[in-house]
Amino acid sequence: MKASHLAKVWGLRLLLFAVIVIAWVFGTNVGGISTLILPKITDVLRACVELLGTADIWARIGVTVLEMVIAFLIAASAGLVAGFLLSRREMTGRVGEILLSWGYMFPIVLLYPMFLLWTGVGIESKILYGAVNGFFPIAYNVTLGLRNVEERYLKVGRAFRASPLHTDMVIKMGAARPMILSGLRLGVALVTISVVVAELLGSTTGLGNALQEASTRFNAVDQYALTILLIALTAVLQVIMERALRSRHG
Amino acid sequence: MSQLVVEDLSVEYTSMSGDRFTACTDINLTIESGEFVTIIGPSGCGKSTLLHCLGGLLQPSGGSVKLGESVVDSPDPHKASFVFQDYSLFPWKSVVDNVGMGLKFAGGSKKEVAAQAREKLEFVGLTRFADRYPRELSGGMQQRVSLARALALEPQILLMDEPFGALDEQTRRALGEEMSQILRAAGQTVVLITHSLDEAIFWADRIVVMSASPGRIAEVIEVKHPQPRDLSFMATEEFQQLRVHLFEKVEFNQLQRGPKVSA
Repeated sequence: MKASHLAKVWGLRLLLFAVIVIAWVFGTNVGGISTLILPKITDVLRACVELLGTADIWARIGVTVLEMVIAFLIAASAGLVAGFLLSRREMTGRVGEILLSWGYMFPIVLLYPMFLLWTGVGIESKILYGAVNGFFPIAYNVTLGLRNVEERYLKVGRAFRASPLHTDMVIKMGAARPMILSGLRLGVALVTISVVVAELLGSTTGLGNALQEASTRFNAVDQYALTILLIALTAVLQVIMERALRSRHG
Repeated sequence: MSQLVVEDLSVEYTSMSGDRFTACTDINLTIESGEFVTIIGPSGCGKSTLLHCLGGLLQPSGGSVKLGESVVDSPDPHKASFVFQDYSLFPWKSVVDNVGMGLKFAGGSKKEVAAQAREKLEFVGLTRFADRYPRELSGGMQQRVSLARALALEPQILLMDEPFGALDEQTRRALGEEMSQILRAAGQTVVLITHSLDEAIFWADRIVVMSASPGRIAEVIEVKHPQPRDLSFMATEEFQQLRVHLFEKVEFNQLQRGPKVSA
């Protein structure tokens, strides 16, 4: 992309951001919106800084990040193994693909009370719930990618006498790489979102729990501040993983 | 080095609807070591099927393919190595890794594989592009990479399935001349399928002309003009006569059979 074009894109993004901030400032001052509904932006920012100054919030951030990381590791390894095994045979592949795409579309949040029932209100239920959400798109993409390797690549494998291990690891995994990476990226997004949702719906610690507490106390300032922190945290994690998992070759 | 002997080879397929279909039949052919043989014929004459059998990628329904004393019943890239029409390079691997792929599959160590792959890249004149990816290369260059991949295993026979089919006329001629010189210099036994009359004549020690439905060998023509040849060969009487002959055999027959030509 040309530098001037890039400058324009970023300029417009900043402009949009500025419009939101100005609308917020305008609404709470001249507009007369109740601070119970929308607190002043300056109060919210001050609350953010104050929150970040406490040990409690860092402990909560630690818990939330830990839940996300463990949930993603479980989802990724289970998804890779399941996708790999399901793609081994035509029949299991066909059956598995449908089941996984259902799991992907199903509102798993409906089952969250059961997760609490099974694993309690601690971090285990957040990890399990996040992992289940992340598992489906990963396993689905891995199965799809491995099942749709172009015949001509497999023919090269036969002509050059690749061992079954080489056929799997070099040819199939290589050809399916872009699909697998995009599955992992979807998985990251779903894991981060569902861990926060799980914390909101029932937990004892974590950032989502703090947000839920602020909400029951009708503390609008803290509620907004915590929301901003959560957005920033998930955005940072998603960007890091997005970068790490980007495919260089298509 | 040994002869490649094809005896009474036939290949039958069963179609989805259960019909038996004969791709080629009664194929008898002996290819000497160091010989350059081209195969030409109308679409559907079983040229590719025959080539796949020569390299063990396909099992004949009848007859046999033997290289020296041993029956060819599965691919062995040290004996017969393929160059495919669509190059079939792995886009997720660098050029040098693609060239070394056969060596890697054969169990070579990383160091050996890299060294030999670079040597073969130099042989086809692509040293500069070793660390690029296939999509950064032109079609002609990709085909040279594919040739280097096949040559890396130092095969007794090189089997080329319309290697220039996907290239434009000019690239095709330039690359073809260059490749044929490289292969000649190496004394490589080559079997090459082509659709082009000029290519079939220009490189061949012998031309195998096939006819369709069912695919069988219609004629084998020896091209006596001395090797190595340059483009001036194409202006000779000998070349022109062969070309007219082949045209009648291949293209004219196809026109007569062709469903699109109405009375």
